[in-house]
Amino acid sequence: MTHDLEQELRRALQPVDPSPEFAARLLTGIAIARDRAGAVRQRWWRPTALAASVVLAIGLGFLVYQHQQRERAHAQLLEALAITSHSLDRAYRAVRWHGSDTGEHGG
Amino acid sequence: MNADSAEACAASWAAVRAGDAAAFAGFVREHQRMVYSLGLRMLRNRAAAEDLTQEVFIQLHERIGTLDTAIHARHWLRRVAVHRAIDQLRRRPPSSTGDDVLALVDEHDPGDYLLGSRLRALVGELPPDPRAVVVLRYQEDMDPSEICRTLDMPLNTVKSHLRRALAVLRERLS
Repeated sequence: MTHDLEQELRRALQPVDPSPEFAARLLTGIAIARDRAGAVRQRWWRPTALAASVVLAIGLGFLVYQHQQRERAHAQLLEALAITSHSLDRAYRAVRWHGSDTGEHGG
Repeated sequence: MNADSAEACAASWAAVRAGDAAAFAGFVREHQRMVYSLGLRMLRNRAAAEDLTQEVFIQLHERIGTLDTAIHARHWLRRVAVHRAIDQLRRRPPSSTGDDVLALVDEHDPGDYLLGSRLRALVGELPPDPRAVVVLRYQEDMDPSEICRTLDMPLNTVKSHLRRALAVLRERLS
């Protein structure tokens, strides 16, 4: 009985074809879905590329600005060191000058 | 499958993956019968089965790149079709069967026509999971071990669904 029932089930559940025009409709549906997906991708592509370009430009601008700031700070430091060095030199010479004066008077 | 046909099959699948529309149409024509029949036996409605078949092939088209071989694609089709059908059946309100009487008719049925229709109707009355097990077993001629992989079910559950479904069908037939 089990064997018979299984045989009958195999016979009853044999695969069947859809309607003859179904394949054509199916392929048309797939083509439409593909075009729609392509259009959606295209619609997203431009704003995304634009946003990425803006972010990149801002990032590059920031890097250039940082570099310029560093260069300016470096130049200011060098200038400050030069001024300091010059002032120290003048102070040293003044001290030596006064020192030699005192030596002459006291000797 | 001999070496020549395996090679031809691999070449045809490579063409499908490369975006050859004619090769894809050939693949659809070769497999639409299987997907449609799974949908029809599960949903018992020809329009719903056609919609399901279309959705499954559209999804396949989107995922072709992830399927390495035609055999892999065939397993994928079977799996997605049955899971989608089970989901639809679970979403249906209990009062609505969504049945289409002509879905039970098979004019090419080689056996007892009335018994065939009665069996198809009784299979359609089984709950979604046992129905899927019976359809995969007797329509697709799959072993319980293959069915458990397709449905993500433990092997013992598949065997138990099968045993109980056969008992119910036998009882209702008698």
